[in-house]
This record gives sequence, C-alpha cells and structure tokens, in this order.
Amino acid sequence: MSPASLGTLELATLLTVVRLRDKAYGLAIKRDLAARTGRDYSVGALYTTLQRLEDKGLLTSSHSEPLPVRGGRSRRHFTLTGAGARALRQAERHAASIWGGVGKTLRPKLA
Amino acid sequence: MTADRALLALGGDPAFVADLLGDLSEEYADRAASDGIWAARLWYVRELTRSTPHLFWNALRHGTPATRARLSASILAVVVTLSVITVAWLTRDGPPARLVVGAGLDSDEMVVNNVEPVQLSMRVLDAAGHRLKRPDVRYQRIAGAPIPVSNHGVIKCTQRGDAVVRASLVPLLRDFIIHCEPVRKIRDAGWGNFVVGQPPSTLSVDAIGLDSQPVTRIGARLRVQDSTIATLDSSGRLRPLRPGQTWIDIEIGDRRVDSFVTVYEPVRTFEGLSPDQRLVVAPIRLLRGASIRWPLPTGVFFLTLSADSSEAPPPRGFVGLGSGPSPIVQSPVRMSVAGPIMCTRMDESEPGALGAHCLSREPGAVLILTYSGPGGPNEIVGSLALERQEQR
Repeated sequence: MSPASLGTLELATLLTVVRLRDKAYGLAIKRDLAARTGRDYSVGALYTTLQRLEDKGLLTSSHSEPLPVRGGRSRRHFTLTGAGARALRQAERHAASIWGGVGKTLRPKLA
Repeated sequence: MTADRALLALGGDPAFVADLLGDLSEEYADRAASDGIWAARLWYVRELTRSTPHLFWNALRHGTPATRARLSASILAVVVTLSVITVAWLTRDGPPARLVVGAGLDSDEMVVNNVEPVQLSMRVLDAAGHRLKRPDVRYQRIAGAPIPVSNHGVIKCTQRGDAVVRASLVPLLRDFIIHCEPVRKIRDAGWGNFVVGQPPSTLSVDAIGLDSQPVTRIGARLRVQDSTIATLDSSGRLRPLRPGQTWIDIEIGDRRVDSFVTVYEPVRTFEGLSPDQRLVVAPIRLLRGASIRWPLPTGVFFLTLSADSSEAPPPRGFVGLGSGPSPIVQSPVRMSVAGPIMCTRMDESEPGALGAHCLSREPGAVLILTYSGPGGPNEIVGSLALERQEQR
C-alpha cells in the first residue's frame, strides 16, 4: 500500500484504531478523532472510511458480544491488519522524509 | 425503527446501516442523558442528514444492480421533484396587484378606432409582474360621452367622444379615459420610398371617421412583411435596412390596408452598376441652364426624378420614343435619353416627380437632364431613382 494512497481521514482513522486497541469501534473512533483533530466527522463519513480501509485490507472487523443492557447491541470492533501496520510505517517514513531538513527552518529564532 | 427500514429500502448495506444506526443510538442515549431529549433529537436528525450522502454512496458501491437502479431512480425522482417545486415556486402567480391599461405600455388613456364592438385590452399583473390568466375584471362607464361599455369590457364606438371607464378587480380599481374615434376608412397610408441609411420615419396615415371627418387619434397595429428589408420600432417608425420592396400591414380598429415600401441603395451615379443593384438612387443638383448626362445600364427599368425643393414646378410632359435624343418629359426640368434606348413617360406617382419606363438593349444609352425655362429657383436639388425589372 502506497502511503500516498492513504487519505488524511484514512491515516487518522488507522492511527486511532491502533491507539484504542480493543475499544476501537465506530463511536469511540469518532470521539477520539474529534478530540484530536478538532473536526466532527459524521458517522456516515467515518463508516465509509472504515469500510474502505477494510476493502483495502488494512483493517479487519468483528462483532462483540451484545452489551449487557436491555436490548443491548453488539458493537463492531476494528483491528489493524499486518498490511495496515506496514502502511502506517510506510506513511510515517514518507512523512519523515518529506519533513526532513525543515525543522531548523521552521524553528523560531531566539534573540 | 423507521430510519432503519428507510435506509435498507434504499439499498443500504444491512451491516453498514446497523452499525451506523447503532452508534447513533448509543450517542443519542448519552446526549439525551446529558443535554436533554430535544437537544439529542436535534443532534440525531443533523447527524443522520450529514450521513445520508455516505449512505447513498455505500448503497451504490455495495448494492446489487437492482438496488443501484432503484437508488438511482430515487435520487433522480428527488432531484426532479425538487426542481419542479423550485420552478413552480419561482414562477407562481400571486394575487392581483396591478391593472395595466392597453396591450403595450401602461397608460391612463386608450384609443378605440373600431366600428364593431371590441373587447377592451387590460392586463392583470401580480406583484412580481406575472400576467394572470382569466382575470374577472369588471368595467363600468363612470363619466363622459354615453359610450356603451359592458360589464365584461366590450365597447361599441358609434360616435366620437371621450368617456371615463372604471375597471375593477377586488381589491383593485383603475380609472382610464377611452377615446372613441371610430374609423370608417383608411384613405391613404404609407411612407413611399426610402434610402438605406436614412433615419427612421413615422407613418403618415389619413383615416376617415364615421362622420367623414379625419380621425385625429389613431391606435395602429403595424407589421412589416419582410423584416430583412425594413423594420418597425416600438414607436411605429420604419427603419430601412437593405434595398428591396415589401408590404406593411396597417390595422386601425377593424380596418386594414397594406402599404408598399421601396428601399433604395444610395449611389453617386448609375455608371458601373452591377446586375444585382436593382434599386438605386442618386442625388441630383441642377443649375438653371445646365444639363447633366449620365450613362444608363442595359435592361428594363423605371427612372424617377424627384425634386426636393417645393419651388420646383410641376412636370408637364408627353410620350417620346427614342431613336436619337428624345424628350420623355417636358417641364422646366427636361429629361431625355440618347443612344440604344426606348422610354415611355409614366404617369405621375406624386407631385413634383418625373417618371419613365425604359428599355436599353445594349450599352451606350445616356440620360440627359436639362434645367431651363422661366421661373423657379436657380438650382434644383433632388434625386434620381432607378428600379430595374426582372427580365424573363
């Protein structure tokens, strides 16, 4: 998977899935994304992204046991695949590469 | 759940729909507990609306061909419905807001030249300027000459006179003046001859009323039959465009006449005319005692000499056949021809004009104009028109 083919929301979603580990289901991912990026993505946009990442083989999903409440539903949990992990590492290297040599330039000069 | 069924009916992926709605419900429960039920409902509706395009996209990507077709049809139906509603809303008619007198610009007066009963022309507009159909306007004569006006606005002008008529359409009222000037006959109408490039000129018309007196107020409808030759502007003035001849339909009241109009191309002389230059006119300046000689083209044509000066004496003439210099018209302005040409004097079409009908078989024909004789101005200024006839 080429890092260039990962969109911003896709990359952020993959990282959120990694961060949330076994608590990575739709609503939790949405809340985490909102807290970290400051953007309130719609549920539809998030699930479309999750489904696309699954289609690409970067994520896999499974349904949990029903919640222990009346009429409790089972949540769909997402897990990073090996391909997903490689795509993230590649994206990190790609980002580091294109940021290389820029740090000093952007650092503010001290008087 | 209604949303669940609706989304599945549209062709959404059941797992996708279940997960999405499940998360929405979970968040809704949290928000209802913290922010109140109405805030939570508002959020739910907003979130579902924001997610709808993604649901459609999911259904299109993952649905069966039948699902895709159904969804496409649904989207199309929604788009068409919204478009129709928008167009209908934008073009909707409002309540009557204005009564407009006459068929053209709004006026407080209306001229009726009809002898037969005629429906008064009134338009009803809404506030946006849309013309309303089948408005039930009522009419009543409230002052002036005893002109019969029906409730529905049919008027019969049997004599000259002015009356004030009130048009009403609840809640609108409009008073206007009717000038009854019935026209029995259009005796003379028309412009005659024009030259390309001339400024537009107004129709002159001589209409006679039922009392055999000239009608002073006229509301005429004009239509030019060939608008490539001349056009009529909104004031009824004729603007010549290209050489040619056409009819103008003139309708005044329930009388109608046609007026023939000829448009000429301006030239300096008749020398070197091309075959397609059928209607040309050249300026003439002729001093007393002087003469001019102009080469004439071959073919059959009419020649018309018109003096601009009102001091030019009326023509007197006789018929002459050409075999050598031959006079066509004898008057203070003498028109004659020489060479292989034969001409016949035409009857006067208008005062001050000399006309001839000529056949020139081969090149070499010459027109000679001479100004002599007692009286009149020292110089005659005018124009000489040539109208070629088609040769069969």
